[in-house]
Amino acid sequence: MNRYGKTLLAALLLALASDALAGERATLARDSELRSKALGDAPVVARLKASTAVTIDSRVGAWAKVTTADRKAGYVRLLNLRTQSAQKGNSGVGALASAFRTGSSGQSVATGVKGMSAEQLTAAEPSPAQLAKLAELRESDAQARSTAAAAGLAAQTVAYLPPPATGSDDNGKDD
Amino acid sequence: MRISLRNFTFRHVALACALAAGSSAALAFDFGKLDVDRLKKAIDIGGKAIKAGKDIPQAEEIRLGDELAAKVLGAAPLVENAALQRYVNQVGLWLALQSERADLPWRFGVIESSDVNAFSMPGGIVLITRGMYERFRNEGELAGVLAHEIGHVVERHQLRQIQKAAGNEWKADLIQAVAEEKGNKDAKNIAKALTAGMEIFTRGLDRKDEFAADRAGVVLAARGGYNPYGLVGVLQTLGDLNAADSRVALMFATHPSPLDRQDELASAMGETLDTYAGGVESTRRFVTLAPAK
Repeated sequence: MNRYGKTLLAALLLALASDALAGERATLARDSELRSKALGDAPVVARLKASTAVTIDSRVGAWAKVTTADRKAGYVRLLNLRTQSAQKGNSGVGALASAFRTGSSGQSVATGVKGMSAEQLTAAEPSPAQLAKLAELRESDAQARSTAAAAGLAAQTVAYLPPPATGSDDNGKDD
Repeated sequence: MRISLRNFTFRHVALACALAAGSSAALAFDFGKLDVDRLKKAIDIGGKAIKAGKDIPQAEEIRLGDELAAKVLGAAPLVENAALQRYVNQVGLWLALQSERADLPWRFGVIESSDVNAFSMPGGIVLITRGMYERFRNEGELAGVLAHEIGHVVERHQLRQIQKAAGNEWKADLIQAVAEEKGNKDAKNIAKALTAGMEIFTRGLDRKDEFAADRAGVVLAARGGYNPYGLVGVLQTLGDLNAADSRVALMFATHPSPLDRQDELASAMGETLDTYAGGVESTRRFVTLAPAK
C-alpha cells in the first residue's frame, strides 16, 4: 500500500473508531458553564445545573464537546462530567445478573480462559519464559526519546500536585 | 528451571535465590553452590540497610518485581504482537524517563486478558490487559494509564504495602534464611513476601495510593508532552463499564470507584495543568487492537 493509501486507511479507521465511541452519555457532577469554545474565557452558551444529562461528542484538551437534551451544544470542563454506568444497555459489556460486591472475590464463574480473577492470579504458575520475553521487548532510552520526538512529544517541567486540601488521610509517608 | 541471572552480581544472586525459593519449586535454586564468603558480605550490606531503616536495595526490588511479573504473566501471557509491545515500551519508557526513577529497567507489556486492568510491580514492570488497551481512544489515554502505574513504582507503593503486609521483619528473615542456608526451612518467611506481593494485585493498594498515582500520572503525562487529561478520559470509560461484569470485577475490587477518582483528581488538579491540555493526544503511531471475541 502506498503512503497515500495508508493515510487514507488510517483516517478511515480513525473515523470509524470515533464514530463508534460517539454519543457517550454523561451527567454533570456540578453546575457548569456550557461554552462556545474549549476555552475558559469563551462565551457562555448556557448555564447547566448539576445532574443535567448530556451526550459527549468528543474530548479536546481539558474539555468535552457535549450536546444537551434540548440540543444545546458547546464545551464543558472534562472533570465536570461523570459517565453513567449500568443503566444503559451497553452493547460491549454483557451484564451479569449478580450485583457487584466489594471484596467478594469468591466468584468462580467460568469466565473462560481469558478472565483473570484473584484466584487465577494467585494460583498461576510463574512463567520465566514470558518474563524473559518481556525483557527482550524492552526499549533503549535513546529509542524511547527518538520515537517520542518523532511523535511530536517534547519534555516539559511540571511539578507534582499536592494532595487536595480536603484529603484527610494523606500522611502515609514513612520517611 | 532457572531464570537467567546474568544481569545480577553475585551478592544480588544470593538474596534473589532466597526470594525465588519461596515462589515455587520450579524456581528453586541450589544453595549448595553459593560462595559463602561473598554471601556473608551480601548479608552484611543487607543487614546495614535494614538497621538504617532504608528501602530494600534496588537490585532486590527489581528481583521481587520480576518474580511477581512472572506470576501475572503465568496467568495471562503477552499478546503476540511485537509491534504493539514495542510501541507500548516506547511510550512507557518515555514517560518513565520523566520520573525520578529513570534508572530502573522499565519494561511494559500488553497481556492476553479480556479483563480491564493494569498492574505494576516494584522495579519497573507495567502490564496492561488487552481489555484495557482496546478501550483507549488515543495515545494520550494509553499514556495516562502507563503514567499512573509508573507513579505507583516511583513512589514505591507496592513495596510499602508488601512490607506492611508481610511484617517489617521480612527483610531480616530473608537475609537470615540466606545466612543460615536453611533454604526450605525458612522459605516460609520468604514466601510471606511474595504472597504479600501478589496481594497487591488481588486486594489492591491503599485508596490514598491510588489517588496519589492518579495525581502523579497526570503530571508525568504532562511532563512527557501529553494532554494530562488522557487519564480522565480513561476514568470516564471505566465509569461507563458495568460494575457487575466479571471483566472489571478485579479492577473495581482493587481500586476506588472511577467517580471517586475523578472527584479526587478534580480537587487536586483544578485548572493547574490546563497549560498542558494542548499536549499530544492522537498520534499516527498509535496501535489499534481489534477487540478479541
